Amino acid sequence: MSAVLSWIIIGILFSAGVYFVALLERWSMSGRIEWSGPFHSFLQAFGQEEIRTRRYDTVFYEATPVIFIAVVLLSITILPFAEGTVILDLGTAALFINAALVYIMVSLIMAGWSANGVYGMIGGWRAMAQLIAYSMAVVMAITAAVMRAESMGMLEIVQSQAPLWNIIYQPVGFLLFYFAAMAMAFLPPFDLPVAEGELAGGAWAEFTGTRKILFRLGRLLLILTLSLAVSVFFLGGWLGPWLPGFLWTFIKTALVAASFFWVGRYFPRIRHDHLLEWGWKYAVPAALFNILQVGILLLL
Amino acid sequence: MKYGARKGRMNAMRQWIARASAKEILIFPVPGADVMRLYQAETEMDARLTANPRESNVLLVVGELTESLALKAGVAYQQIPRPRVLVVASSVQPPYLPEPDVQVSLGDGFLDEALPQVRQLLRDYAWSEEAEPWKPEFLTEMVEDSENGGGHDHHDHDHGNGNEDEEAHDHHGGDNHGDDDDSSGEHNHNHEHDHGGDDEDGSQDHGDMDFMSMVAMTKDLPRPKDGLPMNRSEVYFGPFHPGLPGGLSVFMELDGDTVIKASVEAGLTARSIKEVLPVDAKKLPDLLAELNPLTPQSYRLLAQKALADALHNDDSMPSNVLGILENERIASHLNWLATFAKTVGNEWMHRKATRWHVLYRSGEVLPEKLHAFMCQIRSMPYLQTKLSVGGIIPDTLLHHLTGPAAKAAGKMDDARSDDEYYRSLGWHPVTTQANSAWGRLLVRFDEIEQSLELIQKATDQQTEREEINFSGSGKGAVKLESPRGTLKLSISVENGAIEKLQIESPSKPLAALVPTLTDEAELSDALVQIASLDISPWEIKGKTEEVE
Repeated sequence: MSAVLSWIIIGILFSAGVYFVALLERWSMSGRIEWSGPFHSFLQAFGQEEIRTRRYDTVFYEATPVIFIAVVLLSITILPFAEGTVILDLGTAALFINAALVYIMVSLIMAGWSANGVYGMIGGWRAMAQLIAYSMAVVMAITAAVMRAESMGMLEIVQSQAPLWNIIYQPVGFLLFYFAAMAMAFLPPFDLPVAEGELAGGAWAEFTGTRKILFRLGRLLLILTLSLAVSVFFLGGWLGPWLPGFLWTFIKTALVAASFFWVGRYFPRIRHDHLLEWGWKYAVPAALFNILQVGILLLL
Repeated sequence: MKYGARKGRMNAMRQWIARASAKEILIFPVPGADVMRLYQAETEMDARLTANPRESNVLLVVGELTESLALKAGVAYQQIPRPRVLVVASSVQPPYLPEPDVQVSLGDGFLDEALPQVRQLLRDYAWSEEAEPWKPEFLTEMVEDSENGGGHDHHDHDHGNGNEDEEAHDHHGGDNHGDDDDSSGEHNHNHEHDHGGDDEDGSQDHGDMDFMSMVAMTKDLPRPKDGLPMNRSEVYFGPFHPGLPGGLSVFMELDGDTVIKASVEAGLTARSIKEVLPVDAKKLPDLLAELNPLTPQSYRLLAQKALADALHNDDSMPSNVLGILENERIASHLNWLATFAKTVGNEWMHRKATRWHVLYRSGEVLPEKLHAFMCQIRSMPYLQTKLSVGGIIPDTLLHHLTGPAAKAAGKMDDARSDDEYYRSLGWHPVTTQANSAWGRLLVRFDEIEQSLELIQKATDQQTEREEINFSGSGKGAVKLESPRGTLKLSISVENGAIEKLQIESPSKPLAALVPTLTDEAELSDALVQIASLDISPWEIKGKTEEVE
């Protein structure tokens, strides 16, 4: 009974989380908090007619929004909300989340390609360049977290942080994963694939109506999922005193999500060559150092 | 709303959706947000601006459009998904667009008047039985042209062609798919990417290949300088691009995302002065101001000065003239910053700049706070690194150049140097040695600070300008430092009518820099460079403005 109840609460909290991220997204654009804004925006897109470009690629065009949101939903299933409350306790969860989220890039390339427009196409290419830049940072940061837990299971990873959260145990890994997560969700300053001032919506520019809703909802879920992943891998997941576990998870997730939008205020959009340069010249050695540091700490 | 509504009956569900949508107004401004900001505070309206007509539900035409610009606005209107509302803020109805749904006169805060009407329309007429597809002739022709001619060799999109009308609920059938037509070149639309490169040879089309070999696919493509052939595409950025001045259109040939060729389209936004000449000398100041809505005061002063010179009246510059000129400089630089912030991709900077622009125009600005804001931007992490890449103006192209771009490159020319009044206030031109977009940003900030100082120093001397007698004859040639650089105007007046007129504006040499600055640059750099020049599309006319 209590399991059912906690799942209901988690479901409500998760929807509230999506709403919260939608509010934040609007705030980051307009500087105002508009409580009913996300609903109006949703219904506005819902009532919009669907326009397709001339000579679009039917299969890609129709499949892309679905792939985008499906990938995010897949990765949610393996993230724990509280002790024992995970939809799928996968033995290789840490590997799975990384593998699943790669398809975000695939979906963006397909989106850019299918609409048959230059702006979208360039947006898609940029998504690929961005993946090449951040993928090593993600994998290697996760590796160090897995080393400490001696397991790829999410529950074990959280439990391994009971003595000390990973953010303190391996701060370098946290920073790498944090910024890589922002790049993965293409949030400013990493919003190269959809860059508003350059590509006017980029990979998504030509999608309207319900397809656009799927993309936007998928993006909100993606931000929430990645915030959840940050709190699971580095902020001790549900661990925390006094409050029930799932509340801790959501507090941490909400804070991480808010910080994602807040960080974007301080930087202009990153050039993609700099992103690649930093990703390989600095992030990879830093990630190796992080693995080494965790290894030494584990042997001590 | 004949062309703006969706076809269908209003039922309870649709009513509900329409009510909610009416609260979410997404405006696509034409010719651009910068022009709109001159009349309407972006931060204070209950609507949002969009970067892309697909995301919007209102097309807002600000002011009068030239024929060629109206044509592109017509394409943009067709790209807006229904329900959509056409708002025209001008007394003139633009060609190539249907009858406006809402028409207001252009003035400060004009959206306050228009928005309630827009909401009403979206609420009541989102679905309508009377709705009709908009099928103007020019769009049909564009679609036919691009389908027959052009020789574009499409990549394997063929299976998409047959069933364009598959989903019947967009009732306007195949026609609206003509939206993104390459001869129209609207901002995100859409020069089909030509994966073949060579027009005739279908074998390059990777759809036909059994095995996708990069070597085979690229072997016949033209080689760029880096030796890595990619898909060539031709695309327009502008005239309604969110990261460029409104009305500025840049045609680019891209190799992947590297710019091979770029050039500014001339004579798109600017109206020719020829159409209105001959003109009364008395009307010249207002006429020039009207033709250049981004910096009307500078042009008005320029004309007044020229008339004074031609008719041998006193042309000394009293302090209120300095005030007008320097105020406009600050406002113009802030307006530029708002657009530039979009190009560099920082929403916070954009919002702050628009806010300051509004405050400045309404005279509620505190110089210390504006100074603090500029310091925040100067010390913004990574900004300098991003903007210092490339964008060097070569010395050979420098000699025609004036204004912030020239000053950033170390060229001190400034029309204000000849003015005694400026010199008496201890003014001297600002320069930096950072010949890049970063330098241009710094010069504009320095100019803002300098102008604030000048205005403060000059406030105590107020002298009235004497009435000019317009009925004489004579010749006059004057210079004036506008926010973008030195304006030169020479006129000859014959019995109170302008006989001959020649304007030299700073934007023309700036536009001529575009091919050089963007050569082999990555797309985002190219756009940053173009935006950093602050080209006024209103100053780029097709030919030299010499009228006899």
